[in-house]
Amino acid sequence: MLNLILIELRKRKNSILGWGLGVGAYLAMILAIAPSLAEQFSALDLGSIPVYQAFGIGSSIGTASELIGVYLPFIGLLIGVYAAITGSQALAGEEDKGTLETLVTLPLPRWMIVCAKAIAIEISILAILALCFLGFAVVWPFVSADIDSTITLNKLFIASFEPFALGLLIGMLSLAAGALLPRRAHALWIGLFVTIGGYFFNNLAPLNETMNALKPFQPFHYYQAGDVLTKSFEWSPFISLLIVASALLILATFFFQRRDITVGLWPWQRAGV
Amino acid sequence: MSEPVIQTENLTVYYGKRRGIIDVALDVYEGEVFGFLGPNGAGKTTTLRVLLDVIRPTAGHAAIFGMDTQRDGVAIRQRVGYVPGELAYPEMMRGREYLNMINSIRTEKADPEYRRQLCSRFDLDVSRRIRAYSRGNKQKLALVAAFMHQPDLLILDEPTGGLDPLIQQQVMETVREAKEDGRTVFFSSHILPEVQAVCDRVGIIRDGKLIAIEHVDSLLKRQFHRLQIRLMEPVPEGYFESLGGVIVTEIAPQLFNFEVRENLPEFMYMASNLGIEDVVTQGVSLEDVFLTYYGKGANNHA
Repeated sequence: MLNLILIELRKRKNSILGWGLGVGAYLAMILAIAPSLAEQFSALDLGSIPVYQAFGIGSSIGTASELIGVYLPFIGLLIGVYAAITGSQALAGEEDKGTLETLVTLPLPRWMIVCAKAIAIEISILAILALCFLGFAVVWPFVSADIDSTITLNKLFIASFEPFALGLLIGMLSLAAGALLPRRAHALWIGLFVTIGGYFFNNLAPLNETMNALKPFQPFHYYQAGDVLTKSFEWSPFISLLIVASALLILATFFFQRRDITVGLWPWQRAGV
Repeated sequence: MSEPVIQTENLTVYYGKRRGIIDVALDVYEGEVFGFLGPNGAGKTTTLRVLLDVIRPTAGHAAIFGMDTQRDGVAIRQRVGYVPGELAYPEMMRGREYLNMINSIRTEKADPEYRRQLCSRFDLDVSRRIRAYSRGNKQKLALVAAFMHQPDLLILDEPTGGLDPLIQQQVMETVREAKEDGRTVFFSSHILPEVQAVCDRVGIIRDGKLIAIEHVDSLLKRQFHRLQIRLMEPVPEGYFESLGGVIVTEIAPQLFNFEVRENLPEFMYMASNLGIEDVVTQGVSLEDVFLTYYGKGANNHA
């Protein structure tokens, strides 16, 4: 099992570095410019413009902590996109490439293949988030004096790792979709739809009563994002996301156990004559 | 006779409404080299994939070493080496790393000396990245990965595809050695000399159905010759009838295709009486022999 996890991580090495350094640099930049940018933004009432609301700017920005709180949700969006890509690649992508056939013809139980890939997805998300925090940590000593006392390095640490549960849910959703559906593209689109659709839906839902009522049915509702800077971190939404991710992993294992590899058919077509 | 290593009963696979294999029933015995022949799309790869539990059968049953291929798949695959027909690798790995990966997953580790021998025998440079490998090198890597653990059963899907003749010979030699060690080999191939060289029995599958299983010796006895001969005179009606088993087709004035199943010297003698201008012999594969005897619309001489 450990060997399999290491092999899976090795396959993701470049993407972890690319995404981690990219998102980490973005966060470092936000933190670096936050004090001066917040000052300029305070004169504008961006929160009243719907297009800004769609991107999560729901209130006015007056302080550096508010500005960072506005940009933090992008970590969730970016981690969700990464998770959809890596989750769909894990089974469906390997089947499309043909490497999954070799793997299942080795003496490995199928549940172990799914679990090793799920653990590798989990570790890769954590590694990217660690690089995100590194982005904050590198810049922090230079800007901490200019930022209001609401933000501490400890809070930035929590904010960096809080998207883990969201990323894991989307990763497991794409993994399960890849174990069930015929092509990687199907699994990828499902993951991306839930991520990007969920992100915008979550931001725009407060504008409409019906949408607001449906908000709890998409994962971004449980993503605390910038709130962890101004309020205390809440375990219950985080754990809720982890529970759904675990259920999706169980589903992925169930689907993969029954899957005909290399066949590329929809589940109802595989049922036979 | 010993217990079969591979046993299938009424093995059937449908991909939705599309036919995979239908009622395939075969036994492959310990120490045997079993050739599996058939045209593209006949169901060879589907059969191999069911044996390795890559695909689940719609109906029927398959067992290897007396164990169910679905229930006991892991225990079975510990003792099986497989060369897939379609090769795909993690391209960023080096050949050596790939072999190490396969080795690390198996409980019984490969003998490093034997692995080195195989790499040298197949002339495979494992220090290079797989993405830089040619089709032939990828095939060699699959062969080393399958043979290095000296498994009890080797399942080889077109094992010599993409290899040059010298390496093909080495592969056949390795298969022969496996047989001498008492191991069992199940492989699909289109190439007559390699089947002839190593197989004890062959099965042919067509349109998803296993239509015959025969000893190679008895098949070879049925081998025929295909000749294209330009004659100086036309062939009189019924001229070759006395020989039996000669099929004549005129493809151009005085240019004939002959399919000669027996009495080749007598045939050549009679043809020379008509004045031979030119002779071209055409290769006949074992599959041709099979298809002549078992093919669509053929006279079944079996």
